[in-house]
Amino acid sequence: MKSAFRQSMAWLHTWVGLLLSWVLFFIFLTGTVGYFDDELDDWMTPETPSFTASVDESMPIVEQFFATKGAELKDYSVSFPVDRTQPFLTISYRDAYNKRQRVKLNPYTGEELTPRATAGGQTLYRMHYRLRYIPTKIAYYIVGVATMFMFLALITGVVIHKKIFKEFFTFRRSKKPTAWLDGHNLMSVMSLPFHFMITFTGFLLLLYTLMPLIMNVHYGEGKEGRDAFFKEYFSRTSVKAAGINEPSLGLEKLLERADKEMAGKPIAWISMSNLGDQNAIFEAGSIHNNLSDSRDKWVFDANNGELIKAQIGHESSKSFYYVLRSLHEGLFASTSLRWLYFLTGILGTGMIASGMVLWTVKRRAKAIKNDGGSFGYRFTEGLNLACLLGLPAGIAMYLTANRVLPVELSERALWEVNSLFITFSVFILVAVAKAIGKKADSAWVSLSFLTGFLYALVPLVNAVTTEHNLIFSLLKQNWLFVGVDAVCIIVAMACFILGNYLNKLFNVRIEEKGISTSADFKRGHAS
Amino acid sequence: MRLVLDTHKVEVINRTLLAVIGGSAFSILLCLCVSLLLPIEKMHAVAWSTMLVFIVFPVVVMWSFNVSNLKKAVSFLSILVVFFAVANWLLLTTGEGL
Repeated sequence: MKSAFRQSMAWLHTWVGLLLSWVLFFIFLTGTVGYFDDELDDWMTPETPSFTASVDESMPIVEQFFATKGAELKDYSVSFPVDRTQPFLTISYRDAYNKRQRVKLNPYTGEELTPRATAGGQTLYRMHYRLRYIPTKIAYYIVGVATMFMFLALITGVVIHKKIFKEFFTFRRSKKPTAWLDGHNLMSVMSLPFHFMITFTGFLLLLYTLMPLIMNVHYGEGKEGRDAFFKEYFSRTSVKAAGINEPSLGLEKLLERADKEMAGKPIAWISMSNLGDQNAIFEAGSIHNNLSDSRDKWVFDANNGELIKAQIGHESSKSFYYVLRSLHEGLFASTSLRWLYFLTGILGTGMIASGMVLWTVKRRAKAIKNDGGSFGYRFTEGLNLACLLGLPAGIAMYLTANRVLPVELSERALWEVNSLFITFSVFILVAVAKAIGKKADSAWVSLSFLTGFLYALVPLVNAVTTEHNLIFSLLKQNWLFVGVDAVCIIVAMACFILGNYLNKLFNVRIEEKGISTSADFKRGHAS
Repeated sequence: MRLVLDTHKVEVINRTLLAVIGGSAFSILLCLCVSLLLPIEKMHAVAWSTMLVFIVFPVVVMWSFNVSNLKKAVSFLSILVVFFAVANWLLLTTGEGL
């Protein structure tokens, strides 16, 4: 019975894995790239450098800005360029028509920065849970179901390989299907804790969307119940203006108060509501630089500077929730830890990709023998191939589009995203058409080379259209631009090597086709 | 990897149904019961028990593939589901734990 159990788990692992591997590959790759969302934002707006300036250094500019706006600013917030997520001095406020405005300033000169319209790294990162072109709620459910399958695939994967540590050190390079299997195991086990963490915490980020029932029983149905719970749980307080005028303390005084209360923690942002009213509120928050300090803030009465509430850390379920959430988002991570996040994310993507390849490889030998295999097999191979190469190629086009689309194009940001999905769609069409036409081999080779070419194009286009070519960036030690160029070149080279390898592999196979007892055949068939 | 025996396929489909339908009903009802009984602030009880759903559900899924007798498993899980449904109904109508 035990072995039958393991066999059924293996069956489950294979089919559950295959069914959602396309969505999961998308989620993992865009999410992994998303660990560098702010860096990509910078890269995609090359005309504006990113700044670092302390609160003291930026304050003259802030005051100068408010002086030019006059007294009509009642609600505003300022974020200072003290963190990677805040590369500019950003001021948002409600203007005279009660419309939200947002300006990005140079913290030293006060010059307003107007970078090109771009979807940026944020859009790429947001796609990993929001997907694209479909309603938000449906996207969340698809991602939620995919996450559950991922969780189950991880658990069943562990169950299948009871000798997990022995197999971890087994790498049979020369045998083709088993080499893929060993590679799949290697990538899975190497960062297994990360995979479990990222999958489980993924649930938490969509928690009350995926599982609203318990909340609804306690707090009422629908949006009202949700709002009531969120107001209580996430303490979303908003104070209404009393309508009675009362002078507020100066910004300088309030900052002094905040500095004192925050006990040496640097201020990252401040916000003011109802300035000049009896209910004027001043808030200050610190940088998010460890696991448990997300959303720490200090709330003051802006009229007398009294501390109303210091929200530091969380209690009970909230600390659990926020720590796990921070683990998923990695906002606290320093550059080196961020690279580790990125690399483990790539391993996760590789785990899914190798699983998809494994599915194909195991059925390939038999399919070739049976005149190309069933329609289902060919279609699936085409889709696997289209996803594995199409999405990375789309991301390369997304970066290229940022450089080549005309700046005055209306809806420019949208067209950047469209160019990603147009590339992806073309890959799907070509790959599926070729695979159904029994020419999957040539599709694998040509699309690998095409993807490599698209990645090689990114540093070239970047060098032509901006002043940040690789040599200049190296000389100026502009590591961000060096990093993007380097990653693109590495991916391009990997794609060329892959294309070359596959080309040789398939040519050999075609030559051997005449001799029906090729070694490759037997091995594939035996598995 | 492919299951050759058809009975195996049927077995897997039945177990999947048990896992998805029975598993979600059981885990939601169990966690709802937990949320009604936890002697802590209401919002934390809701949060903890909602998070618990995502641990209980995969465990039930694994259990439904592990259990040897499927018929016994179905009746066992049904009894539990009915038990927790009644318990929740009683707790909610008597207002206990709220």
